[in-house]
Amino acid sequence: MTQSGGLMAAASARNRAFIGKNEHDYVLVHAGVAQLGDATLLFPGSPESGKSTLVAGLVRSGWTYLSDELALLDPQTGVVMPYQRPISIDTGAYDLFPELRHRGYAPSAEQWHVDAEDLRCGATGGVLSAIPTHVVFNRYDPTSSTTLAPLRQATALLQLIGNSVRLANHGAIGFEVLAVVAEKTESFSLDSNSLAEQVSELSSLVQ
Amino acid sequence: MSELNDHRKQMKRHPDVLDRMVDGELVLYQTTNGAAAVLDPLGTLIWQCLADPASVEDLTPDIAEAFEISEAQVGADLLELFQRMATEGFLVDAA
Repeated sequence: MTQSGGLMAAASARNRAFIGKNEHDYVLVHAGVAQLGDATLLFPGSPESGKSTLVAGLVRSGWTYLSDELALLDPQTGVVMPYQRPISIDTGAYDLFPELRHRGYAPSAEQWHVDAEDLRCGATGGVLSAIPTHVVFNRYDPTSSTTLAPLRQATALLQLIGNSVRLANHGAIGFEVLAVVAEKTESFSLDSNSLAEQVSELSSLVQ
Repeated sequence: MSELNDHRKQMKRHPDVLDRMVDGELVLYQTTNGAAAVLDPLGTLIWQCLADPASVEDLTPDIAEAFEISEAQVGADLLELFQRMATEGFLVDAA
């Protein structure tokens, strides 16, 4: 682990407390979140959809890390809050991050919980909240070439609902928050069999 | 699962369903069971008609005229739509 690991651990502890104390205040979506420049992207998806691997790849290439697991949406403002826990990388993706082995991540481990600062120094810095600009539903498909295709807003809203957590607890406000996200952002599906191509495609999209 | 085989059965919107137009498409969200759907133009029209309880029989003439389809076809399509929407929890028996 790098020297910044202590800071990351502190941030994670703060995030856990933050979630535990205020979870009911936020509309939660299973999603990775990363930022580049003025663009903040949500990557909604189930635990096995590859969103953590994608977020790790983006962070390594210069994006700021906000979350690999949950998007916390403020129902009053629609902004997304950072939730910077260690990034969970499954064994199947270890070879995509060979540099981490030199930072003490063991190839024999069942899962890596990666400090984002180990991917890139400064990867976690400075974001207190952000306005979502894009929603990308990524899917790893070993048979697919990289395809980024726009989605209708209604389709994006359905998928946001499908990836939400206890949305009904928020009633009409929760539904409205996700509807506004669908309306105010550009939405895409991203099918790919290559992390490098995903990162390249998304970086081009927002630059 | 709701059973609906009667063209005269009065149905209404489930009170736990939220609806919203998004870029011209109507999205439904059932807060009790989490179901969600995007309605096509016919489904959207039906949903709007169901602001008050109605049966397939009630709606068929106007829908047939609006879409220029035979009443027999509309009746069959509407019954299937009502059944699907009841199964998803978007509609309930108005009785």
